[in-house]
Amino acid sequence: MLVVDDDPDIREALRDTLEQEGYCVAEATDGSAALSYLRSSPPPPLILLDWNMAPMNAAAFMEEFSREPAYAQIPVVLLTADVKADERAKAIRCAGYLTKPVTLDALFETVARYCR
Amino acid sequence: MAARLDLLQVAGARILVVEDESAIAGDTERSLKALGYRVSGRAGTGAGAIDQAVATSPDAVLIDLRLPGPLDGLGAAKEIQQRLRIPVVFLTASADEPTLRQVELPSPFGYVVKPFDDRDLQVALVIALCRHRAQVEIERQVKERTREVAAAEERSRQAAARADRLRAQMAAVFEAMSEGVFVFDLQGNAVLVNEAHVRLAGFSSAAEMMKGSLASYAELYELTTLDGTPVSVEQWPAARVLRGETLSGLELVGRRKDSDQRWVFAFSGSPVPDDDGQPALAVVITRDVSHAKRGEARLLESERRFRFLADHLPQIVWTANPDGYLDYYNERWYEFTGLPRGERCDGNWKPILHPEDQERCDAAWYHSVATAEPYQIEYRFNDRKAGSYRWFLGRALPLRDEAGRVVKWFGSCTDIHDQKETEEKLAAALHIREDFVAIAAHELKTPLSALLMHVQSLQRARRAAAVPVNLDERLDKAARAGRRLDKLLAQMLDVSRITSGRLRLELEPLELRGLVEEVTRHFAEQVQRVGSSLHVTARTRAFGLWDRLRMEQAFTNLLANAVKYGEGKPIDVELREEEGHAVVLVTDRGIGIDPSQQKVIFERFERAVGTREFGGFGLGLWITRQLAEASGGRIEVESTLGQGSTFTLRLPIQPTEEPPAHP
Repeated sequence: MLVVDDDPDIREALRDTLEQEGYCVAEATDGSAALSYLRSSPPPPLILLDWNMAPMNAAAFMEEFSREPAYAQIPVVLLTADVKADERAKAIRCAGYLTKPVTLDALFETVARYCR
Repeated sequence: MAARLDLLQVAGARILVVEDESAIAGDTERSLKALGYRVSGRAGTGAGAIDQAVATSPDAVLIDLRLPGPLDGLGAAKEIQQRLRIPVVFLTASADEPTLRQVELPSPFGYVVKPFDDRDLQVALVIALCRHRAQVEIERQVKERTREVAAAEERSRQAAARADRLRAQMAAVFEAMSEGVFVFDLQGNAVLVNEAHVRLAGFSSAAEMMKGSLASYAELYELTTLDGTPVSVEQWPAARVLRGETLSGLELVGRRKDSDQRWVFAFSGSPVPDDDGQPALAVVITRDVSHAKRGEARLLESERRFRFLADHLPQIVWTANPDGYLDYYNERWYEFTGLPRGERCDGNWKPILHPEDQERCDAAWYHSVATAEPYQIEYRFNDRKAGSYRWFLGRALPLRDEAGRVVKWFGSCTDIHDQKETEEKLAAALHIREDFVAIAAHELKTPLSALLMHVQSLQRARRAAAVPVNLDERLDKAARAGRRLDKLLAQMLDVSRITSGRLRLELEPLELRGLVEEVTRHFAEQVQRVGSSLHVTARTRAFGLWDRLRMEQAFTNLLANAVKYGEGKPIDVELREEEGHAVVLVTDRGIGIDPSQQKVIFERFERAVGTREFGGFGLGLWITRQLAEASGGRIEVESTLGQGSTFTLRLPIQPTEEPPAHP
């Protein structure tokens, strides 16, 4: 799966945790890095997307992402500390959301739902 | 005169001839015709004479004294004269002359003695006709005169009655008047005075008052002008009117010397001319205006008190008419605006009011004027002394009369600028604090998230009885997240300390070069991770008194930014000394800062690249600026978008004799 977050600590924690569970994790530091990854790699079964990133944030990424029919089948789960995570995710058409700080149970449950 | 003219008019007169002897009658008729008369008829008896006279209305009757039948000529003549008032001339024999002289007839008559000739007949007829006409004329004139006299008597009687009535009405009017009426003759004697004046002047009756004259009243009363100047008796209203002046509403103070009663009188008056147009009487009308004057004085006093109070209030006070026209401002307004006093008030506030508030103010004021609802508004007036606008609270309430109609608006403008500014500052401070708490909560969640994930993940591995291959590394990472949390918390505390003025520098003698090098070493790993490189050029030791922790914090912030926004390109750090200052320059070749953002990045919670996109509170540069300023220095930035930024920290060196501690 692809983890998109501009905070190296979060990327690292997610990668370590998910890899420990046997998942294969790719990283991108922001929206544009994620787009270039998608253009050059086979489509991941899931994208974990941080809300607040720079230079390209989640909303801008989703706009570009939605325009590409090839990505239509890739589910995107929004990672955010915002209390309105639900609304945010809906607004930019994400498949689901996880609130920070992320609990492992929630993380694994979400990941398991999309990556079989 | 009329009778004489009639003499000439006897010709053509109609004559009734009464004669029983037809030969004489025929002669007589012929004579009459010859003389120019006409014969109206002929009769032979007394009764026939009366019938003919009635039927023909002759101008005269020529009648024989002796007639046959029961009624002789004398009886018939009497009857004709009495009933018909026709002159009669008798035809008589000379023997009857004495009889005729004894005959009493109501009117003069004449007679002709038979035999007579034309001349005799003519004389007798003319005399009879003229006497008759004269008598008729006299009687007519007497009647006419009698009638005239009676009419004149009637007219004079009616005039007298009218005059009486008018006099009674005038007297009633005089007595009914609430004003005192006093009439003097030319000598100043009282001629007429009404009841109101008697009361007004404090007399018991008109009769008593009428005894006096202008001179005697001057002994009893004194008159002064409203400001107390005595008025001599020559200048009294009555005296002036007697000299021909006309007065209207002359207000004077009257005092009765015996009782010390006082009045304010309003005098009016005019002279009454005689038939030659010369003043004959003086009419003076006196009105007691004491009550009105007292009311006026009370009103003036009340107004004076209001103005005194209003002028000494710290607020601007104004009044307006029910239609909204502003008619008064207190002293404070003129002090504040510098507008000239006494100019028309309405509308002169327009240039003082902030242009953005004018429409709102107009709307609110005219709404209140239209509905009589209390007026309240906050607006800005130009403070000419400060050259800026100040906030005022404008309020006004309507004063109503017993019927509930608005008679006046009382308004005030209170300076609420400082209060409002404090409120705004407080609101801004609260807003900042809310922002800060929101940002802090959000930012703290990032390292906390990483920390929790590492720990939970390790717990999970342990539960599964599996030891992760990189256990040490994972624990290090968890610890690093914990340290990051600690740093964020320290930053929060710094903000709190700085904003509450509790930032204290703990100075110690040390070399800044060593400190810069040490901080740079701390970044080595991070720099490597982002694929960047860091180069330090230290041209000076910069030995002096420094707060080690705070300086370390400042350099750390600048370096952290350089790494964060440096796009992995080489970073330069330079230390040099200029004019007693240590100058630290940190240069990156990253994204750069938009010119419009270069100033605000040193403000609290400001970040050139948008809220929270790069993590952290956005407080680093603000804290660094606060630390630089607390040390007496400053921080500047030079940047080109897309080419990178150079932050320059200038700190005054405080020299010290002590040897430097090892950094």
